Amino acid sequence: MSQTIANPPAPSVRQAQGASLSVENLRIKYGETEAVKGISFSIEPGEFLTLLGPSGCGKTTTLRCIAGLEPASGGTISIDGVPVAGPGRHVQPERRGINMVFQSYAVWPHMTVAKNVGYGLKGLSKSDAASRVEEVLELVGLAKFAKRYGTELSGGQQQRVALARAIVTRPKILLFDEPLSNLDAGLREQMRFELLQLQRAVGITSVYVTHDQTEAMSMSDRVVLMRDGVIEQLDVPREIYRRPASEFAATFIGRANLIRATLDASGTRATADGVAVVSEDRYDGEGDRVTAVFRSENVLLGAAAANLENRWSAAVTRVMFLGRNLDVTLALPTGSIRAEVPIDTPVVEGASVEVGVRARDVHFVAADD
Amino acid sequence: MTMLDLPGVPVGEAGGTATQAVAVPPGRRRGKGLRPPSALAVVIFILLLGLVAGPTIMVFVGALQSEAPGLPNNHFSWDAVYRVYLSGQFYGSLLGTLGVAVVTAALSVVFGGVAAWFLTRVAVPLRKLWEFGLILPLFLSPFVGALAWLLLAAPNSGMINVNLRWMLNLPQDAVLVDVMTLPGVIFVMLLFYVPYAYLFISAALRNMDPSLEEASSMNGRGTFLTALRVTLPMMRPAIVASFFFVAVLATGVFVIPAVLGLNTSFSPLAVEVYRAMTVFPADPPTGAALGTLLFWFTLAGVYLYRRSVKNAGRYVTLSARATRPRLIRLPVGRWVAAAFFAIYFLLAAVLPYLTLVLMSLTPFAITDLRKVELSFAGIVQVWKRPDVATAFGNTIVLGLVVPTVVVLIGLGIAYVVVRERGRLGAIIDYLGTFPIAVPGIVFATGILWLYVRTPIYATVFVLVIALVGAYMPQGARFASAGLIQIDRSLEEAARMNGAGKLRMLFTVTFPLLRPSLLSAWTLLFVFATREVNEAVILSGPKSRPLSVLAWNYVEQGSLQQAAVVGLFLTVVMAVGMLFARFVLRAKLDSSNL
Repeated sequence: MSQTIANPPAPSVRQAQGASLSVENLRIKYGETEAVKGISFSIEPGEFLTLLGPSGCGKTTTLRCIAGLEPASGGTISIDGVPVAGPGRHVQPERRGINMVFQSYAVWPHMTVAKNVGYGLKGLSKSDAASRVEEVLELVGLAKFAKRYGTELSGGQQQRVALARAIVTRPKILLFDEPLSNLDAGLREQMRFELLQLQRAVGITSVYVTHDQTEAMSMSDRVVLMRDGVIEQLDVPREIYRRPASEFAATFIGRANLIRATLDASGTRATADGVAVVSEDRYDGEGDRVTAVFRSENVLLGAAAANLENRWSAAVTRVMFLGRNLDVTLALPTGSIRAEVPIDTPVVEGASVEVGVRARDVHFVAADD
Repeated sequence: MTMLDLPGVPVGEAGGTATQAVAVPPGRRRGKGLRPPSALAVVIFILLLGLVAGPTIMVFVGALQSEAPGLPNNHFSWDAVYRVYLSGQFYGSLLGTLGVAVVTAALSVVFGGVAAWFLTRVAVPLRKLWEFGLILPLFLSPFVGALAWLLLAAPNSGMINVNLRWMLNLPQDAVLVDVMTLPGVIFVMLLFYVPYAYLFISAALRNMDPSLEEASSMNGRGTFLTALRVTLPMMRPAIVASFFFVAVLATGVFVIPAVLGLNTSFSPLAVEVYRAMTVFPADPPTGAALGTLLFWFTLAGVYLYRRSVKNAGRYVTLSARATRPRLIRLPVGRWVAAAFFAIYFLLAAVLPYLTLVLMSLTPFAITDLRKVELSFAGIVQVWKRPDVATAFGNTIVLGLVVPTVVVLIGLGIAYVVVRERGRLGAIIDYLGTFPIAVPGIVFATGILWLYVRTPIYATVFVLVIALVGAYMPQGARFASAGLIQIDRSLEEAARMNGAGKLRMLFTVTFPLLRPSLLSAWTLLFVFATREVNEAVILSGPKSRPLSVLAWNYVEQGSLQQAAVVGLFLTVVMAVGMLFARFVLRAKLDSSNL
């Protein structure tokens, strides 16, 4: 994973039909509690943006507010520069030109698949509407099921109905509220791929909410990482992974090893309990209490650790065989760290081993506390 | 009671829609406190003010008047209030009413609870039939039932007494059963109130996680000790709730003691209200004041009921797995239970309606089976009377208009309470469920005062208005139970697809609620056609429905004519229910009542 993959094409290069969206200083209050505490971000036409975070971080609330299903208590939301929510303004959801795929799919059980999908088509002749429905059902691979009722379909098929219904109206922006969370693991992976292909094909601006970091990393152009109603980090997935902005960002996405240490004057070297950590990037935050972050797949052991900028000696406390690799737990004076190493690495529980990490794989963030 | 804390609404059953159950993300259910109330909420609020708050307030206004409503020399007066509250004239009546209510409620809970335990836990033979027999009385008219029991078990001319005398060679004045006594009245009330207790407790028993009982048997407790030490304590909230529910009904009941005459030292307050309102010399202010007296007790009962229902929330033990409890095999007990269920079925439904048919077919109210000559003459004679035709028309108007209006307003109430919420929603919730605390006959006195000087007075429309107000809680309850089960995202999906609120209501909400609304409509049809408590105060000669016509015959002592009209009423109800069941496909079983 540390290998560099080719950058995905920028959304502006892809064929884009969507609108731009901008959210400025959005606040959403329920009575006394503030679920969203002033967040701002903007999305280019055709871009796929993910709101990622643990449950209760305000991501779904933000999405529903963009949809118009929740009123904003402060800030503005504009679509293509036109405000739809703001001081004294609340455009009804049906007038925003947005569509949404719900977590529960919300496929109406009393309508056939074709009726479900054709529900939002207004001002079209019957035959035009029917051909649009057919076309979209073809696109999601449900053409055979047009006459079935929603409840006669499997979870994955209902998911596709919901998707077809959301794109058939050709919305300016498409919203996804954890659409894959009710699917089985295998199906989820397949749908993730299909969903992304479809979004790329249609080119609609998309806002996607999930708590699943794999979904967020694999699908998004950019990720908004949220916690407790504020944005923790907003960046492309690879940057969030490689250069997390905080301990939270580091631990929420992927497995991170953390070493809390004190920075010296150089700004690239920190020490704690006799362990020195060196990074290629200068730490440009406040203070000298930092946390060094590095991924477990970047931890090398034994001979492979020779000549690396960071080299420590550690005791192997546990070795777990995971099939593809070994998960090794190591004890450093600062605490334990984990390493993912090839299965032929000679490590024995209880033995001492040389541990190494490249300086370019280490990143300093401000220490929490 | 508010709709949101109703007990025993079985999840995933009542609505009948196969929507996926979905965890509600935090925040979805919370209020939109900052938005002003919707137009719908305001309209519903105004309707409820007129239909519920107005009549209730007028009961109190009426109690403070000197004369009947509408008279020119009417003025403010404390007389009626003094007479009712302080003179002591009605204390005996009050104590008797409360005593009867408490005894009836306690016995209903015991019988209903035991019945529920047997039908949910024991492999009783013919279980489905007994379950049907237990909820059947909810769809029958207590008035017709009381009338039939009067014909069956009156001390002198009652069928049972007359025929057992010659069968057993007893003297002519021997009285074997007498329903015109206090125990007799309680017995007939039990026939109609046990089903309520059964519904509450069986819903709780069904919702209980069976592994709780299985854990008890794993710990070495037998069937009896498990029922006593685990099941019974878990059922406590349902038991308490049904006790107060039945007690409130029994406090306000008019028609059963009125028909049975009750030759004892007291007459129930509801009967006293009726006397004050209608029997010459009428004294409506006293009737209203008696109504307020009754009201305090039913209000207290409803308050206690609400509290126990709220506590019930702590005991909800729905497990994710829908495992059915293992049925216990009581070798002897199950047959004994079946016999008891059969006896109940016989006493509550079979015997009364056989009697009703038999009496309708014997022209001179002859109860001696040796002398009975069957003929249709009596039925034809009553059928030809002009007031019967009018009464038929009125009953059908009530049966069609009242349920329709109640279901529609109930849907509006449920929508505001469940979906929009906010402060006005809370007020609407209370107003909409308030009539439960007001006995029908008391509510009717308020309606009388409100409409006496309007042109609709003594027309069937006053009755429609009164019944719509009185049945509002039932309408709202069904609609909200259905609405709670419709995942909100189904409605939101419509909005996202460009539908406005109205289009959403008609294309998504309404079709999905259809099963709940149909059940509600059918039950309300039954209520509206059999209604006596309010109609007896509010209807004039032209606006009498069949039920009141039959009551008038009872008052005149013409029991045979009363039986014929009661039979007509039963036919109307049966036709309506069969239509709802088989044409509209309304579901009417214990899971969605």
